[in-house]
Amino acid sequence: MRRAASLALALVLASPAAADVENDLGLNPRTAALGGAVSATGGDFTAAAYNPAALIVPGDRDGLAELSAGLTLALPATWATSLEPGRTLDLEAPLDTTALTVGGRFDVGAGLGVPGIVLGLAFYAPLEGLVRSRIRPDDSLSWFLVGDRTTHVSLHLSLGFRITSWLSVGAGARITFDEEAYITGTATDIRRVVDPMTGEERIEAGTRLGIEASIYGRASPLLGLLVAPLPELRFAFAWRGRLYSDDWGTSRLQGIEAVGDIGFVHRFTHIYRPHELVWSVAWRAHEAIELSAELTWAMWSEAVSPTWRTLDGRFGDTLVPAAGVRVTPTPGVDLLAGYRYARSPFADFGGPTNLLANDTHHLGLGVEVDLDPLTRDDVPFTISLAGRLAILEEREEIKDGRRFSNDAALLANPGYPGYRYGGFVPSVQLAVETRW
Amino acid sequence: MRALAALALLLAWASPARADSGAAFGESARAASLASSVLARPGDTSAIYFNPAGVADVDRPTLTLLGHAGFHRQRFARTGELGDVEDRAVTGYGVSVVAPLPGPPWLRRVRLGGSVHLPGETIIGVDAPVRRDAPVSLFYGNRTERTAVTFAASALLPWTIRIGVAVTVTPTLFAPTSVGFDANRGATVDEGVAIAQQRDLTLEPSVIVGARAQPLDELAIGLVFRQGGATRANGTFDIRAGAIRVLDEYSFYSLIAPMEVGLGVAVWPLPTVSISLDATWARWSTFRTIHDEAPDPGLSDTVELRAGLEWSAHRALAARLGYAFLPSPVPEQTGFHNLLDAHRHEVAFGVGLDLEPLTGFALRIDLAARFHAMHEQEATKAPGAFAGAPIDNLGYPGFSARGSFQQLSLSLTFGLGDRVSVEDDDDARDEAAGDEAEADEAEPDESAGEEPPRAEAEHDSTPQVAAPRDATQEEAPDDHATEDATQLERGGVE
Repeated sequence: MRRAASLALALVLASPAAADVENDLGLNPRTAALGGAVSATGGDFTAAAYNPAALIVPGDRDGLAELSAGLTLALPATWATSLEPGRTLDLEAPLDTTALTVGGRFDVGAGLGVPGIVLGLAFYAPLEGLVRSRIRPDDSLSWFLVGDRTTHVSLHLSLGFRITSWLSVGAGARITFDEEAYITGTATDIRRVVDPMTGEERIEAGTRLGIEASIYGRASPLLGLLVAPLPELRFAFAWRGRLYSDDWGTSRLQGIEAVGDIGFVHRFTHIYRPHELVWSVAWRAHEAIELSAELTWAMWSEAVSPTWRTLDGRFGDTLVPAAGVRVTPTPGVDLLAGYRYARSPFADFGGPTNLLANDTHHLGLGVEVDLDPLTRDDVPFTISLAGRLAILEEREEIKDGRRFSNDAALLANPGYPGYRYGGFVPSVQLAVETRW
Repeated sequence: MRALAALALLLAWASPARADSGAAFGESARAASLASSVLARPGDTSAIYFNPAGVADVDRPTLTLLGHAGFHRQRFARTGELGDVEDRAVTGYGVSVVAPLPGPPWLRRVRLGGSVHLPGETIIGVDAPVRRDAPVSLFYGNRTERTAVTFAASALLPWTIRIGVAVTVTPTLFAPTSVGFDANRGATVDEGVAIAQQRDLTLEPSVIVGARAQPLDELAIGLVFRQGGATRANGTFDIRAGAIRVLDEYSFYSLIAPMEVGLGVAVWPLPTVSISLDATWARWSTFRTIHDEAPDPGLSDTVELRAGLEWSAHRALAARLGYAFLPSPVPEQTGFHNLLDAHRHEVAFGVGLDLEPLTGFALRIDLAARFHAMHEQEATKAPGAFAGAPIDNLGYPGFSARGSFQQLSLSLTFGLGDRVSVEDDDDARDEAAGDEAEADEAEPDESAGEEPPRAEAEHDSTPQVAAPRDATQEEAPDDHATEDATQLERGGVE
């Protein structure tokens, strides 16, 4: 007699859930080189992602139109070793990233008769594909903050408005995607086979699938403020809303002999980024030197796992400091340097999960060359080149038997008895910007 | 996970199918009102997909926002049955940007453009039925629920020749998935389930190459090749739960657009009137169903015919009319599959209002309405064509079907930044960038009398988002037909 075995499952899986190219790599060479301390400097299309109010800064001319295109290459080099000699960890290496970033900044207010309204667009697309991800169970070893974070397409759209010469505001959105999928299938052939190893009989079924699915847009808001009490001093405040991609649906297979139907419900999150509050300052200490500093409060304590679990306090808020310096040795040439420290928001605390998340130091260096003042012809192009090195501080995880339901679960955990992990993520960016 | 397997299919639909940015029925309002007969017309942002050579006619950074709302009705009834009617709204919006490069004169001859179109309700929507013989609309189904992205580059060459190339991207997904259950993983059933999936959504380029020339003031020719493309989603589906194992390999396929070659001609019989005719051959014979099967019976290649008329009633106002005959590639459905399609007639009309000559504000507003009327589709199944019991087929013993489609479109085209001149002489460039009225008045005179007329016309007749009309009203129609027509084209650039 057939029994309908319907398995309604909250699927447990873990993926490198947080994809955040803006903080990890920087959207263009300038932000990469300055360590991301750009919310107060602004003045280019990346302000659409960091602080929309900085899309228009003191000194910007009316009717501006800028377009930029750049390439990014990131090659993670990570390592992880078990604390048990001779034990091999089942851990995939993070994905390399080769990506294209296209952005623009356009004064749309001039045409409307309202000067000071600037539209900013930023589009980040990995060249290997719009999306590359590896989803694994949450107790499988996987890199939480490296790899998948930069292999997802990213789109920003923002408006900045200069209220007065010293005050600008802005609002924008980052676009991600929710996925809804309902899958049905019908068994096409049923086979009873005997496992040659165990001698057990099992049922194997082939199916024919049908799918009804949709992808919806999800906009994560960001707001910004830019205050310039002095021509050489700016303060910025920004709020970047929480961002994630919601993924849900059902799967149901019918007509499987001996069980009838099999089905499950799933819900996942991808590309999770928490709410962020940003304070930033930029100071032109000298006509050839500009300093910038930034502090970001990232509210990771509200994070959920890829399976919509809070993971019992294993996420915690972080404060992320960053600093940058720009030196102009000669008109048309800028040298950039920056630093950023991102503390890990996650700890396994010896429990069943095995999400590898390191404290990370980011060091950046870069150069910008504006061809217009350097050449006699009208060549309004700026070429930028930057390198960034992310250093993943070594971290150790030791499994605690008290956090497991039984000894079998402890011994079967892929991270048992513990492991150490760390690495480096070098990246380089090249961009060309033009303006009308 | 299975949802991501479905996502494979979903994201495989994020690719262009038709028109403007490549989205089905996502043309700009101007192109829609001309029944998309724009291959030979001076281009604008909509040329990104139609004929990227037309992008070279844009001489200032231009942003176009477009939106459309439509209604599709499809009736289907098996022989002897009442059948049913499916009504569906088809909406979408998009943005296109074109900009000439700044810098030295040779660089100013180059334009870059990009276009994105999104369906109204979703980014992508797809419905792949379990049954391979399910009735499926060829043109109005999943093709209208796709996000389309296209990038273009074009250049102005001497003797009024423009060339352009565009790239659309077609995704392909590889997503093997496995689901297992191990009671030792956790205390509850939920914790015992383990899923592993790899998802790689890669992009493959599909190329569009075009050329446009205007050998005479009253005559223009356009030629385009579109590579077309298909998206695929494949992988494995492996579920293990106790003594049960479900193992399946899936492969979904969608022909986004067939290979196409188009030829267009545009004439200006009067200074204020332009007529365009386009013929496009489409290679539908390579079509495969969503389940990656050759259709039974197979599809035929087609030649689409399109015609458009534009009349500049005023320097700021243009009226447009279009007609297209779209033959169906779908033969009588006597075999296993049930593809719904028949010959279609498209009638369209619209207006364009250019605010720049009236107010100085560089904005043009275009509206369009479009109607599709489809012939009645009749089919009688041939029992001998089936393997197995034909009575199980969803189209047996035969069926009739008919569809219709109506749509309204709106486009807003903004001129951003200054116009870019391709003149080598600095003085001429300064003059063109200076008094706009003097420059516009001077250009037609200069182009009329100088040699080579096509070369000068190339500079002077570059369609713009909007251009003052005073000069054209003063010109002799015979001498400046091209200029006048082009000015009118400018006024209805989209």
